Amino acid sequence: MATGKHWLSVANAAIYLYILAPVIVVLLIAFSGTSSLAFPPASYSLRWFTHFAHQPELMHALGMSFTLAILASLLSLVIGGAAAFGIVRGNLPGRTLVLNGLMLPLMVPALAIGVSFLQFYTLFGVPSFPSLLLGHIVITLPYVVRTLVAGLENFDVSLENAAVSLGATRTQAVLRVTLPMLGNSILAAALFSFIMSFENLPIALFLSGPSTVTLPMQIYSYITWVFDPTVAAASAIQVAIVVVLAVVIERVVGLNRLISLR
Amino acid sequence: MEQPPSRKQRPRLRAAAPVVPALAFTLIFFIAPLALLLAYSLFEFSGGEVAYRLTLANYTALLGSAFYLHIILRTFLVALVTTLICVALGYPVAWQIARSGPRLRALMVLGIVMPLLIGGVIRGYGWILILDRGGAINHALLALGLAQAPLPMLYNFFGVTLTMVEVLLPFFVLPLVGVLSNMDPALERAALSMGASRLQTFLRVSLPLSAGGVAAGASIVFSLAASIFVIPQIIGGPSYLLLSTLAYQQIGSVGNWPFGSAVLVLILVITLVVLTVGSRVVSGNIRRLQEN
Amino acid sequence: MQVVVRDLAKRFQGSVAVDQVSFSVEKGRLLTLLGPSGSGKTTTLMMIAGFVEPDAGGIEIAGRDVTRLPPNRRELGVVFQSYALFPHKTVFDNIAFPLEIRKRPRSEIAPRVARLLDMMKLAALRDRGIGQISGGQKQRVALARALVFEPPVLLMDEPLGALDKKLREELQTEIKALQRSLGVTAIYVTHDQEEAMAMSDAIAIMNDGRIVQMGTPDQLYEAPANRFVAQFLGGINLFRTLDLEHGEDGVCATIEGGIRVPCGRPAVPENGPSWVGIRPERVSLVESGGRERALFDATVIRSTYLGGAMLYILRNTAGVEFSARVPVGGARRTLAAGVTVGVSWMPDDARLLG
Repeated sequence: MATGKHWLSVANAAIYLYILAPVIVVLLIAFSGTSSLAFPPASYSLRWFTHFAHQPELMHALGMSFTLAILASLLSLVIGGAAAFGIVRGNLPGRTLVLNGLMLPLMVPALAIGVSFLQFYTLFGVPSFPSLLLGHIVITLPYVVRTLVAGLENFDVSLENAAVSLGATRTQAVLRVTLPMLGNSILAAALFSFIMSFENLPIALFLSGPSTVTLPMQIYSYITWVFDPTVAAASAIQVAIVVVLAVVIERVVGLNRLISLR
Repeated sequence: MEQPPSRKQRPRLRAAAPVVPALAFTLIFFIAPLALLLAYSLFEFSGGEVAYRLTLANYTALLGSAFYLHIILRTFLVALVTTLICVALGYPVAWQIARSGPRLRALMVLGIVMPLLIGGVIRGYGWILILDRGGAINHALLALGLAQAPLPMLYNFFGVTLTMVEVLLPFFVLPLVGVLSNMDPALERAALSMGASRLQTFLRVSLPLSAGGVAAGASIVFSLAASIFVIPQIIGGPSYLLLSTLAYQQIGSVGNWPFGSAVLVLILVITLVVLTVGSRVVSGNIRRLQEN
Repeated sequence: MQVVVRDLAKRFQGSVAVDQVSFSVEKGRLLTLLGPSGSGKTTTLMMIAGFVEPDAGGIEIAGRDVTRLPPNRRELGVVFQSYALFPHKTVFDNIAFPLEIRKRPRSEIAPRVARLLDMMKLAALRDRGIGQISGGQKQRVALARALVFEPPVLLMDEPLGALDKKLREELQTEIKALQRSLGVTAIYVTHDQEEAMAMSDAIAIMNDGRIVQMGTPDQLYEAPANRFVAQFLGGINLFRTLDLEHGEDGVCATIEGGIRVPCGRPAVPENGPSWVGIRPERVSLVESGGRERALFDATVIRSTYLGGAMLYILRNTAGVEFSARVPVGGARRTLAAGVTVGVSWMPDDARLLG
């Protein structure tokens, strides 16, 4: 019995190495001391991070990704939060249908979403930034709705009722009891939206204009045209941001609840 | 419980109000563009321009030419092999996650989800650094004298499948972890106590009871493998086209929006069919589990 | 001896779960491991079953050392707390499972399963799914499945924990009768002392990973080794002892309030007794200052009707609270709160506890 478990652990460790290998390689190359992409690097330095900071288009892309991700998260939190509340508490007719409808973007390939936006916004002449933002909200909204629906369903309504029985109005009860207790779900939804927007390529690929290039978009064009570790440094920065947020989410609600297509 | 209808209707409508913005948003900024995509796939393309006349020519061209059929088959093959490997590698991982204490469990989940969150572009870049002619593996093989010339590992079946498995494994593991965690570990112990070997226990108890999770994960992996774009674009490129990269090439480089749209509609249909069939199997299986 | 457990020990992440546990069970007997939750009883059972690897110690079953043997080669029937019935199989297929694993021919499996179905009154349910039968029926299926391959030893982990009281009592009698008639050696884990009393040939009381005392149910009840056993098994009133005299008529203890109580000839704990213990149902209440001589006076604080008996909570002159369980009926009248009564007991019913 013990040996069986031992072999399982060894096999799984190998699988994890396989999964994490590309990220590890990128991180090590980012700290390379030479301009060669050969692995493992001959020496280590921070020069490519300095180089990154002096590339205006990379810094601009980083800022663009941040702006987009923050705005997309906030807006989908507002729209999605209201929807989740309506779905769980509203006693809606066709509740499952509404929920499934809002989850639909998860089932549609990102590339199809990107192309359809391109066609849609070309038709109506929407400028690049708003169309990018709307596109990112389409991607993040389902995650927000799902996280908050789960949070609200797990929430014990009798706590809210207790507040009302103690003299609070329904609105006061929601604001002072329900919302603070849903804090974790809300935080998780916001951070996860941020990540999903921050790492997205297919939408930006079709909707980015010259002044609205996102970081993944910039990295993508760099790996096609530029052959030095600057792009690895850019990637390392993106990885660092995502890792920190993911650890926070894991601490707060557990990541496995967020990731699935249904 | 019974309320007069007039009093029941109004609160219902008011309760529906918060859902309206999200529904309207999804309708306008998601469904409408998709409808437009569908429409584009039915437009004519002639002389390098979109002619707004309805036709099925894009679909007949897609399904009628040996070149495109080859790409469709290749997409299916890559998706199938990717799915099978994900099942084989993902089951033991999911089992260990489900049967671990909270600390190891959280760490393993974080480890498997992290690459997913980091995104396809960076992982694609990492794989290029590993698989390229001058990459880590070829470097090691040449240094050890195991190969005379660098092995081609990019822009072919091997590279695309290898990276696809890496990207999609979490989508198989996570639903299965859910199913295996809900399964009473005493069931496996019971089988062992009655004399079943570990293999018999797996084949006769764990596997049948987790078939729903396997089907769910497999259908998700297959549908994603047939539709994801970033990894095939970076690792396969134009020299190893799949349906998604074909669509991108048609729209981005050739400018043939109608044909590219038709390819995307095909991908969309495959995705939705596989996911729907998968969820049917899963809900049947879950119902059976809940009878206990 | 059918089961011998020697110096079993197990730690989980630094904390002791089981420590120096040793016992043995004779063929055909039923031993209960009884203790509060976290006392190590289930861990001990899981080590015998082979699902938890002991850090130290040994396990012998039917003369065979099984300490390092995987669970599937120990030949033990195990009944789990959750029943662990396979939800994808029918009642019949669940019970047939161990025989199928042993590759018995169909012609042998069918009659053997049928015999157990009859024995457990399950014949009508043979083709039902597990989701379609009641809790008590699941219990029976689990038991039938654990017995069908005729293991020499049966392990049961709180098998009745999920059932309601009436059903539990019914099944206690059934399981006991079945175990007797089949002559199977059994180890039973429960936290329910009444269940343990009703079913066991012997009981091992566990606390903090150790066996505190082992014996027959009446031995444990009449001669508890310490305060924990006495309180856990049946409950006991405790009076702090200040002094102890050994006289001709036995021991006489002085308890709080300077009250002297005769204690018969009890076992005296090694490191000196600090408590006199008396079971509530051995306390008698008499008229204060009446003909019968009381040991001391006490005031009734409150009373509870138990159906057939009254439970009185009293406080004596030294302020110590205790209880008395007095049968109701006949000429006995119930006592109201505030009434002062005399308290006495037979000297031999008192226990000295460390």
